[in-house]
Amino acid sequence: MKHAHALLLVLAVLSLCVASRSQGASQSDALADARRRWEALAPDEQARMKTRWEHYKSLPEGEQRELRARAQVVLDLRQRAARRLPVPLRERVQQLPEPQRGQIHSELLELEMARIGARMRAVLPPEVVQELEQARPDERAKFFADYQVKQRVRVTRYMIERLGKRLGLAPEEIERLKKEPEAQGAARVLELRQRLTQEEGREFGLPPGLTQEKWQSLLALPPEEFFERLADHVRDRQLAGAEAGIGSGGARPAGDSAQGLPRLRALRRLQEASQADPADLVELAYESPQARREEVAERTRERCLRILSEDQLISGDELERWRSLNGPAFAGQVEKLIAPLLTRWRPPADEKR
Amino acid sequence: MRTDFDDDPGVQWMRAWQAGDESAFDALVEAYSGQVYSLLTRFLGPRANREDLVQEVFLRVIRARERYEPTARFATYLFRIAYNIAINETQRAGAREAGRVEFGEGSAVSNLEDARVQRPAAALEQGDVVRDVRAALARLPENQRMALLLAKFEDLPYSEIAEVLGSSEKAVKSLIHRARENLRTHLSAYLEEEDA
Amino acid sequence: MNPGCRAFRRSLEQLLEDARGPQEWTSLSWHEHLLGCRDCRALLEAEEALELLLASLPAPSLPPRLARRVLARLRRGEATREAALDRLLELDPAAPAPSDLARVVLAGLESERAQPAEARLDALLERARAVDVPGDLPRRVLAQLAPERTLVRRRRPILARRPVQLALAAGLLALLAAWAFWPHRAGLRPERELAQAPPGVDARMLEQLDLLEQWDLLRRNDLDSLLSTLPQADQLLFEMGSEEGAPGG
Repeated sequence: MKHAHALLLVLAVLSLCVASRSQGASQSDALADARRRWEALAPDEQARMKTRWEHYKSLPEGEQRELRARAQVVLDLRQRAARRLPVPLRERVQQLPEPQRGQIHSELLELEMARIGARMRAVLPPEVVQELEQARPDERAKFFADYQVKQRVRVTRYMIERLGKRLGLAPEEIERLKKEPEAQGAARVLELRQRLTQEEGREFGLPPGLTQEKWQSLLALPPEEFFERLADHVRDRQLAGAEAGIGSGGARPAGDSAQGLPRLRALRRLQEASQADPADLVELAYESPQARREEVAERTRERCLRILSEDQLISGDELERWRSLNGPAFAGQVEKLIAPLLTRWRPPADEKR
Repeated sequence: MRTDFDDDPGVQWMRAWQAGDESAFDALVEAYSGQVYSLLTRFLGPRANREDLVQEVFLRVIRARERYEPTARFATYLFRIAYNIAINETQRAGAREAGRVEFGEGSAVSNLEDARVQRPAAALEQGDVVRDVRAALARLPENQRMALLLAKFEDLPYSEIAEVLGSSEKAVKSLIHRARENLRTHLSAYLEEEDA
Repeated sequence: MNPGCRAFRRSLEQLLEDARGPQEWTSLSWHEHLLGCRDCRALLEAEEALELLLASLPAPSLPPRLARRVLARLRRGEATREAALDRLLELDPAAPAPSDLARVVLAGLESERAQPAEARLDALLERARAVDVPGDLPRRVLAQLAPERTLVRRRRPILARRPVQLALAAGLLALLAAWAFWPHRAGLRPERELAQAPPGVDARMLEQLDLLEQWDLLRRNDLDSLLSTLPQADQLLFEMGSEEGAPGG
């Protein structure tokens, strides 16, 4: 009896497939989808889109191209933000009605952008970050675009040289790769790095925590996704180490916070806690955006206070002072405290090769 | 439609009951009421109304009969209901204040110091140990407590505990870690003595 | 980089190789070195050697593959965050390493050994496992629930009954099949109409509808927005470059 349902469902799906095929494939499914979305917009929203369209058309071709590229990146970010959610949470978001679902997706996107922004700040040289922050807003995008183009060329050449040598490529091959069109540079570097990582896996064993099966499925991914998943894996393990590990046993000395590695682990827990929890966003999906923002900030703050207290990252007196700080001031203090985790070690100039 | 959990006996009984077999519900109660009772006892302590709470759990199962879809093992589904009921119960009983005092307000460090179990000088009776362990568990925030109980006494994997708590696996790991840290602090008298 | 670092890393390498050495290096100096040296801490953190070291109690050895991997990285200077490890290769042969280095590290870094403490806590918790469940609990629960069950059975909607559901599903399937193969479907818009822009709307605008919907976000020029909307390949490229000591401009 229970198979009858499955059978009926399969037959229903088959009949729908036949129906759609019998109509012939539409050449512009994307346009049809866009039209449906357009017709679902309210009149004032349609008017807004038209105004933006006029503005877009007035931009130089170069700016239009950049905007299109950025729009694609943002779409990818939306998908990445959704992928990072645990499956049950992802399903809960999908089950939300509109407009809640759209709001939550937008807020998850904002979280993802903040996360990546923080990661990239740590990667860029401090003087570049400072210059970007101090630039006039209308100049910042141009300055950043210029820097990005130059840096891509610099880093691509440098990395092809290093990775090529480590992979044992012939010098001529390395030179040929360096001369490839600049637009392909980043992709080429990622490909080489993925190859190198694969060889390291063969030679030295898998990264801890990965089975052979999982490793092979990761290697089959395109380079961007491979590195994203690997970074998530390493981060999860580091966090699990921070959660499960060092300095967690026994009575703690009163007074000054723990030093050394226990402190680093505690800072990592604090770093994790200082980021808004997507589960909180979803739980509060039916609140107004403002109320949700406030409640999520409050919960994030509570989590941080709990860790600051439990892990004795600051003294009791400081803790009391921090409790009385307003939101931005509190966040600033936390950011300062976890700064060592975000700072990348860079070799002094004379050690670069 | 077939799911990953169709081999779970509880899921099978639920499906049979949905199809009209009333004896399947009896089987569910026979099989799972003890487990729910134990979980609620460990979570809430030996309250007089535990049996009422067990009934409440199965009452919700009755009301969910038509819309139930197996997305987890049946025990996990029951534990989720039991957790929600237990939380409501602690809120009703005002026991939440104890948790707040310990872990949120005032100086948490000094509160932890006060909360440590003082071990009697004489050799312990088994009953004292159990009493003190349960007291230490009761002092944990509810989510830490439930995560630990499910991991320790029900052997649930993190993924299922996450289902019960409506959370993520990572958060569950963190909860369990903190629960154990807190318990080590509360029960340090027992743990240190064994070192000596 | 200071002599302490070289000595520390030599010690680590000897540990990984399971080599034996003189006993002059104290746990305190190892511990203090790590407390004071971010780079050496970063080395251990990045390679996860420390977690596995501590997890390998009581036998102080690392899984062979990890040991080889960390060794290779030490030698090739390829730790994920340390680009100048070639300096480390100027190892000081005179730096001693105790043969029981792992135990020394643990004694220095941990106030108590985590694993036995965990076992003691587990033993304590076990004592609180037993719960006295009344033998006739199921019978009493069923008795109390009987009235509610009767009520729900009476209220059970007709649509919840299996034969009714199957009949409805069969009817729906028949309708779908008719819809699929019926030559003209009155009242439904053909795909070709949807594939064109509505009157008065530029089709090119519809093609860029995604972009237009995200207009405000795309026009933001705060630093986080700019950084996070770099193409992912560029983000990864810059991260790798930074780790490998690429020039920053």
